[in-house]
Amino acid sequence: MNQAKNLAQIAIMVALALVLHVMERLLPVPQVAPGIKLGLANVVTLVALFVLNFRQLVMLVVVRTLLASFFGGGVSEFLFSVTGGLLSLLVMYFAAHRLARYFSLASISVLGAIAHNLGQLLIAALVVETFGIFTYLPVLMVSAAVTGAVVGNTAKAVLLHLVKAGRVSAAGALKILI
Amino acid sequence: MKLGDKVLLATMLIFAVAAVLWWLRPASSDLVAEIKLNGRVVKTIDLGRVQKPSEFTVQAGAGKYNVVRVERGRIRVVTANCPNQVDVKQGWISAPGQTIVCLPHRLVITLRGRSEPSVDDIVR
Repeated sequence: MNQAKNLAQIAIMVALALVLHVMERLLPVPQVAPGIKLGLANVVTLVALFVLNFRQLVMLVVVRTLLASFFGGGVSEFLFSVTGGLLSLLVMYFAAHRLARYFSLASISVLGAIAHNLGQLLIAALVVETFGIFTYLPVLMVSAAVTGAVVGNTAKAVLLHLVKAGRVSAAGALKILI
Repeated sequence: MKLGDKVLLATMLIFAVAAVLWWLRPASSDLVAEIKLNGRVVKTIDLGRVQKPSEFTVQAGAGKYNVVRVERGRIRVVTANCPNQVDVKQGWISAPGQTIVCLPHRLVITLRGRSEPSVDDIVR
């Protein structure tokens, strides 16, 4: 019973993230520079940090990126986003559970966005076999700071509602919300 | 704001400044001026890296001279004592492939670029 509930929970979160992912593609966001996007799907991951355990989180990220690459992209897009996604997850998990005293949810989101970019650049560097790509990092970092803050604050609002509704245990989430 | 937030914000600001500097960095060695006398290269100048405008004189044999002015991304002959003054009248050149020729002094200034010229060819 409990296992089925867990599975359903992950499945719903994957579905939510995918919807956000597809919706984001429909938004007419100006392409400031290649590789920059809002990353709305990260709202789900940020909330999931306080709901799922680490193993389940990894499952969430892998399944989400796999299915997202079915909706558009392909093998290479999957490689990029799964590396970025897992690295981002590692950083955010560590920050949320060990460094919550120091970081607000917006900052954790920014850190995750930076880690996501680093992971993608790493794969890009391996693909084109040049590490000169990393000169592009400052640009991506700045965009990560902006989009990460937007996404982080959105996740904070979502989390507040979930805590109020009793869907997320207040004890775990509260240390990050104050 | 918590402590880590402030640290992160400060780091991001530094990166923002770095990013702006990166965007504004001088176009490096994308445009090189080659000055030839009698078919021999006597001087090459990376126009992308010229910091401030300067002038110098090219001595083209007994009593023949051309004064060349260099600014970032462009070059011209300011004065010369050649009879027809074609090189002076031509003014600035700034695109890869463009050429200034002073036939009486056998002086040629050619611009080379790593990027392709925007036109197929230049006929003069």
